[in-house]
Parts: sequence; structure tokens; C-alpha cells
Amino acid sequence: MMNCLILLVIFLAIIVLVRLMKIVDLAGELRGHVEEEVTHADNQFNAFFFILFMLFLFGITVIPTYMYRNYMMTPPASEHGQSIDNLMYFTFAVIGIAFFITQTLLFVFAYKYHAKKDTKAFYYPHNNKLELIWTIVPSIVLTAMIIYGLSVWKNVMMDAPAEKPIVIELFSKQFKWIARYAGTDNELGSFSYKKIIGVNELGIDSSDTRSNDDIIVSGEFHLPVNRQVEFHLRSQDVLHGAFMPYFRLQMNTVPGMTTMLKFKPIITTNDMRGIMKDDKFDYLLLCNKICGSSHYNMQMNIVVDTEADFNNWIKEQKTFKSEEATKAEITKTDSVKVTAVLEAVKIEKK
Amino acid sequence: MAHQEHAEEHVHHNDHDHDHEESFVSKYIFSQDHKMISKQFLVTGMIMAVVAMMMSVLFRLQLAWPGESFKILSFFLGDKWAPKGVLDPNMYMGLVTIHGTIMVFFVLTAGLSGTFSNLLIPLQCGARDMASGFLNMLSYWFFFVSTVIMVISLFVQDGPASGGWTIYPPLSALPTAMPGSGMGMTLWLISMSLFIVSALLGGLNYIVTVINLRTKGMSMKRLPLTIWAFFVTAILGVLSFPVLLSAALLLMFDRILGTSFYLSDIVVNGEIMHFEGGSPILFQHLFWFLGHPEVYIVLLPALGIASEVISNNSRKPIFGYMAMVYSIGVIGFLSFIVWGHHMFMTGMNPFIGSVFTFTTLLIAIPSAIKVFNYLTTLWKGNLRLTPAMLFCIGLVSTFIAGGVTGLVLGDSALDIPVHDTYFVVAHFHIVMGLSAIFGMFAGIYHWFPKMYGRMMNNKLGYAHFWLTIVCGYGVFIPMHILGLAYVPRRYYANTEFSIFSGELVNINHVVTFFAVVGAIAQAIFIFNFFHSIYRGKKASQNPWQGNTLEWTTPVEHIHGNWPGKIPEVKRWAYDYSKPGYEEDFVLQTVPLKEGEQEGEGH
Repeated sequence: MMNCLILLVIFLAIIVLVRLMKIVDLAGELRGHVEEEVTHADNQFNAFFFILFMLFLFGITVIPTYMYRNYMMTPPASEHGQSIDNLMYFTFAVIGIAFFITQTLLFVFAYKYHAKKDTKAFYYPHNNKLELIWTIVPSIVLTAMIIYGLSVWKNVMMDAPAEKPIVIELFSKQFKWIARYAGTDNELGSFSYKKIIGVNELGIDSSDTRSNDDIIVSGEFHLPVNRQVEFHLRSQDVLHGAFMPYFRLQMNTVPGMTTMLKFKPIITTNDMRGIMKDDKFDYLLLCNKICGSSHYNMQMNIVVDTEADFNNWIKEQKTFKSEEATKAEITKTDSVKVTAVLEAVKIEKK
Repeated sequence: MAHQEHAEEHVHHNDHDHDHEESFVSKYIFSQDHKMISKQFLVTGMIMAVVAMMMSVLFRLQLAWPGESFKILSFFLGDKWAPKGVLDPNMYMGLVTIHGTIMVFFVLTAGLSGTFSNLLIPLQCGARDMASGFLNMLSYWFFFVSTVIMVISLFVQDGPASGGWTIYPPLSALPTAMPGSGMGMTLWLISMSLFIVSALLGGLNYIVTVINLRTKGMSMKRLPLTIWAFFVTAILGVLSFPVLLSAALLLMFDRILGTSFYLSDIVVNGEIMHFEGGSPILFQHLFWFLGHPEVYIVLLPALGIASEVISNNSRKPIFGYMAMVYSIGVIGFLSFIVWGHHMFMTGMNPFIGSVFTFTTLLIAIPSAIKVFNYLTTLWKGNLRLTPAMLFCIGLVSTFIAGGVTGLVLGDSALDIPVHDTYFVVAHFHIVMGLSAIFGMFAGIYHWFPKMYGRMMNNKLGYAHFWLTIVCGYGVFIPMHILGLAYVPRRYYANTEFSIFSGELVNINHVVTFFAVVGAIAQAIFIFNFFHSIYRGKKASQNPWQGNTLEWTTPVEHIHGNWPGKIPEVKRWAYDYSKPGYEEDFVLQTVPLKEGEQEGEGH
């Protein structure tokens, strides 16, 4: 109701403004002076406003950026994260300079050269030297940006890591993430989407012995700090986006193909809580590709542990083989329907 | 309306022998006159813009105050889509999707190119009409039908298409994946196919007219920059829209015939689908092969309009005419080989990503040249600050502000953390939602006297401009902060994450405040527009003291544009304040004096 009232007031204010302007116009006509399309007063008024506007623009660019400096580009928690952030700072320095110089020139020119009586514009159709300068200078700056940018890109996406990574599969479906560790053999068992039935959520081929020691977790998954990780990303239904902003990681998951990501976490969750001054801080895996009505709430916690904590945690997890055995047991007692119903209720609640 | 139609027909009957007298239907509805068709495009585009802008206000309310009840939501969406005044998540997606579709295609493609290419190509080239008036009429009517179908899709049972305006499959291909992928999506695809037909008919007509129907003396080097921009835009459209049509057709096959062009290995809702061997990434390649040139289809006409209006109101020739022409050409060419920068994070080979980074950053060079040339045109000018001129200065400002962040997003390494966040939303809204729209406003204020024979009110124009640019920046500059805090776009609410709520919510309040005020400010423009059509001050033949041919036509519209012979062109379009002339403008029809250098020669 309050909002409607506010809208109404603004609307009325505009109507009043319109009427006032009409009156001013009519008064001018009554006084009978012949009007040009744009009066001298119009030019002065708008020219002055351009300077005011320039201050507004710089204000709205700089002040909120300063106010929210702790919320933007939070500390990178992966090995390559710092190099991406450095590139970001470099790029912002370049575009910031370009932005402030050109905007200042634009608005100062708009103010300074507004039409005055008895002046004539300067006929200046072109100048090859100037054109050359502002072709070459941006070219040089851009060359630097391209070379710097591509070297970071190559390092993050293409270079093979020096050490052998832990292999983890991140599996996505509407609206849930599931992680699968490759286990002691560090090899993921094969899978087929045709096997995604009932309890076998990932469609794992149980006849493939490599899958025996695989460990499947949902809700949250753990990573050891300072160890290279390789994610294999999969989707069972639509596109999803695996987005881990604090690690500066992002990659879509695509049904029908496996996409890859590699990185090394360098700060444990506990240390990060200290850095962020937030006891409840958790690393998150978000979905960042529109995937349906609960897209905005498709998440999984990531816990970065010390090596020892990680080893303890992973020991407590059940392997695919043992889990399958228990599940088979449950099926016999026919309670699988109950769990299915419970699952459904849980999803509905979400 | 019906009454008026009847009366007009009646008049027609009585005047049998005046064969140039037209019936209401052939004059206002199925008109083949480019000036009328341009007005049809403009008014349809404006209506669609209002619809899409209202949608953005609705979802901005949800984003600022998630889960709160608003009367306005239940008023527009009813109990089904806004139970108790709280926006439904599926409808949120639907609104976002249709807002984007309408704005990009119906407003900024048809509304901008359709209006000004139609109006200005014959008038500024010196042609009696478009090459084919009939195809031109068809172009409008295909567009009109496609807008009607898109609006109908808002009212189907499961809601409109809601997979985002990029309609990536498999989400858009599987009706079981989300409600909006059912009937709504089918209508979206039909509407878009018709729209593509319209864009192609229009584009071919523009190209043929510019190449063949220029008046005597109008060499390509004497064309105003507006025409150059429309010409290159039309070429981009003709080359890229068919690819979108093929993408849409294959998607229809996947949906209707059960083919697997984009689909493979899919299980939805426990159902194992039969699709095998397709690739969702194929769709993205096809979509962005149109999608990126589309950005320049949207932007180039605005830049062309800005070149003309800035030069005219600075009373100075545009600085570096040939450099501007080359820039338009280079931007047009490069726009075809950068589409992959939308796909760095899709699983495309990273090496291909680096190639696209290279080509993408190259576009900054011609863009920078254009900006510097605009600045130098203003330098030492005698600026007449009309509303059109204000919007053009605003366009240059927003083109810079939106352009520089493109260097962040076009850099594949930097795209990793900001891809699909609000940083992207801020970037492309400043370029398309502000810059291109400002170009459209500038064009309307500047050529209104040519379209309707009357002037728009300047004072209202000033109020409209200042409110719009302040609100525009007020909406989109703070969005960069959300983007750099890595808030993903297309989230119904950010409340599910502690890292995105807290203090950052205040930014959403500021953004929504400016969005609402900015939307209301457009009422000033709409009032000014329709009021001036009927009550505006009568325009003189050349109210802005312009050089180009459209200002040599009579104020009263006639079929064929010029009453006698088509004027002959003797010089380029930018002789403003040329030394040796009494007035500060020289019409293109005025012969060169003896020994006078033309164009860029001094």
C-alpha cells in the first residue's frame, strides 16, 4: 500500500511538472517573443548541468566502490586466484584511466563549447596525425592486455599441473550437486546415463572394478589444502554452471559430455573464517547457468581441511561398493519406497 | 477508430477522380510508403518497450525486497503468478526472459533499425521510396504478427518462455524441465521465426536501396554516416539472422520430432530420454553467431544517428569522416568473429577461447577511434544543446562506460570469476539499454519534425533526458559492485546465501529505486511524443539547419518525397561552419564554388 502511495505521489509530481512547463511556455508565447528552437538560456542551463552530472557520475562510481571495497574481489583462496586478481587490477587501472579522461573531456567540452551568440564553430574535418595517434596508442595498450590476459588464461586452463591431482567428479541435476571421489586408485568408475535408476543417482557401472572404491557425497564435500584437485563435471538433465567464486573457478556442466577444471586450494575454511571475520563462512559451489525454478538455490558446501583432517573425514565415508551392499539390503526390506517418499518430501520442501 | 475508417472511406468514394487520394487502409495500415512504415515500426516498438520496461520494474521489486508482497505484482500477474502479491519463481524467470527478448529484438532491432532505416535511407539517399515498397510493408506486418504472438505467449497456462532470452537447450527443449519450456517456448520460437523473416525482408530492402537508388551525385563517399551505419547494420542482419533461424528450426525439430541435434544422455524427473549424440554447445555456437553481430545491429544505428546529430548540433563537420566509415566497417567485420567470448565457460576448448579473446579485444580499437572522433567533433564547436544533442552526448558517455567493461569480460581469464554475474548484466545494459536507447531517443527528438511535421517540446525533452541518464547510471553503475562480489545473475533471490545478503542488499534497494523513478520518467517522453503529434508547434522545413537531403523535402508528407525532380547532390554532408559561407550550414545540393575543396580536404 505504502509503495502504491509513493508511486502515486511521484506520478502526480510529474503531472504538476508538466503543467508548470506548459504554463511557462504559454507565458512566453503570450509575451510574444520569437523563439529559436533552443534558447541561449537552454544552452547555459544544460551546459551547467553537464558539469554537475559529471560530478554525480564520478561520485556514483567512486563512493560506492569505496564503501563496498571489502565485499568485492574477496581474498582468492586458490593458487591461480591471485594471478587472476592481479590481471583484474591491471585491467581496471587501464580502463579506469581511459574512463576518467574521456568522460572528463566529454563533459568539459559539452560545457565549454555550448553555443554563444556571435561565435562560429571551428571548421576542422580531419587530421591524419591525430587519427594515427588514437589508433596506435589503444593498439599498444590492447596488445599488452591481450598478451598478459592470455598468459594467465593458458596458465589457469591449459598448463598441466606439476603434481598428480586428486580426481573428483561433480555431478549436477535439477537442483542438486553430488560429488564423487575417485578413491584410493584415484580413478573414477565408468558410468552411463541409462543406469540412472532409483538409488544409482550417478548411473555408475557397478561391474567396473574402478568404481568399487569411489566415494559419493552430497550436501558438502571436503578438499585437502595445498593439494592439486581435478574436477570432472557432469550433468544429467540441463546445463548447469559450477561456480566457486572464492576459488575463481567456473565451468558449465553439459549433458552428454564431461568438462574439466583443475585448481589448488590454499586457504582452509577455518583460516578463511578468520580472514573474513565471519564464523559462519563457508566456501560454496553455486549453480551459475539458468536451470529451472530453483536455480537460485542450487548449492553445495565445500570444506577445505588440513591434510590430516581430510584424511580422517574421507575414512569415515562409505565406498560405492559398501554403500551398494547396504542399499541392496534395504531393498530387500522394501523400505526403499519409504526413502523415496522421504526424498520427494524433502525436494518439495525446498 | 472504426468510425474514422468509415469516414475516410466515404471521402475516398466521393473523390473518385483524384487517383492519388488513398483509402485509410492503404494509407495507415497496409501502407507501402517508407515514411508511414517507419512510424508503424516506431509506435509498435514504443508499445513493446513500455511492456518490457514494466516487466523489469516488477522483477526489480522482487530482487530488492525478496518474498515481500506487492499490490502491483498481484494486480499485473494475478493470484496464479503472484500468490498474495509475492512473485512466483517461474514467473520471475519468464519476466526476465521476455524482457530481454522484447528489448533486444523488438525494441532495439525493429524499433531502432526499422524506424530510422526506413525513414532516412530514402530521404537521405535521395530516393522516392524503398526499392520494394511491398516487401517493406510485409517486413512490418511480419514484425507486427511476431509481437502479437510474443504477447499472447504471456497468457498461456504454463507461462511464457522462461529459460533466459538465450533459450539454451536442453532447458528450453524439454517441457518437463520447467513449465516455461512448454507452450510458451513454442510460441517464442514461432514469434522469433516470423521476426527473422521481417528482419531479412527489411535488411535486403535497405541494402538494395542504398546501393541502387542513390540520387545523382550521391557517391558512397558523400553518404551521411547514418546511412553508412544502417547499411552495414543491414548487411550484418542479412548474414547472421538466417543462422538464428536455423538454430531455432533445429530446436523445434528436437522439441517436436524428437531429433537429437542439441540433446544427449538426458534424464529428467526420473525419465531416461532417448536423445543421443547431440550437443547443447552447438546451439550456443549458432545462437551467438547471430547473437554477437546482433549487439552491433543494435548499436551501429545508434552510433550513426549520433554522428549525424552531434555534427549538426556542434555546427561542425564530423571529425574524421573516412575514419568513421572504416570503423563502422571494421566493427561490422570483427563482430562476426567474436561470438565465442560468450562461451568461455561452456566447456569449449580453452585454446579456441584464446583466439576469441584476441579478436574481441581488437574491437576496442575502432570503438576507441569513434569515441575520440566524437570528442574532437565537440571540441571548439558551437554546441546547440537540443534534447537530441543531450541524448547523443549521453550516448557517448554510456558507450565509454559500457565499452571499457567489455575489456574485462572479453578477456577469457577475467571472465572466469565474473561470467554470468551482475557484472555482465551491468555491462550489456549500459551498452544496449542506455547507449543504444539514447541513440533511439536522439533520433526521435531530431527527426520528429520530419516524421510528424511538428516539433517536440524541448523543456519536457530536457526533463526526460536528465532524469533518464541519472536513473540509468543509478541503476547500472552499482550493479558492477554486485558483479565484483560475484553475485550470479538470474537468481530469483539472493537470500539463500549469507555471502550475497547482508550489506549487499542495500545496493539492490538503490538499483530498484532508480529503476522505478527512471521508468516513471519515461511517461514524460510518451506524453511529449503523443501530445506533440497533435498539438506540437508546427515545424519549418529545416528546423535544425541541417545539410542532408531530408531537409529539402516539404514538411507535408507526399508520396515520392520530392514534388518535382529529385535534387542532385553536389557535396558531402558535413559542410557546417565552412569558411567562405555566410550561414553555418551548406545544403548538400549547393554546388561547390570554384576552387573549393570538398569533404576532408581543407
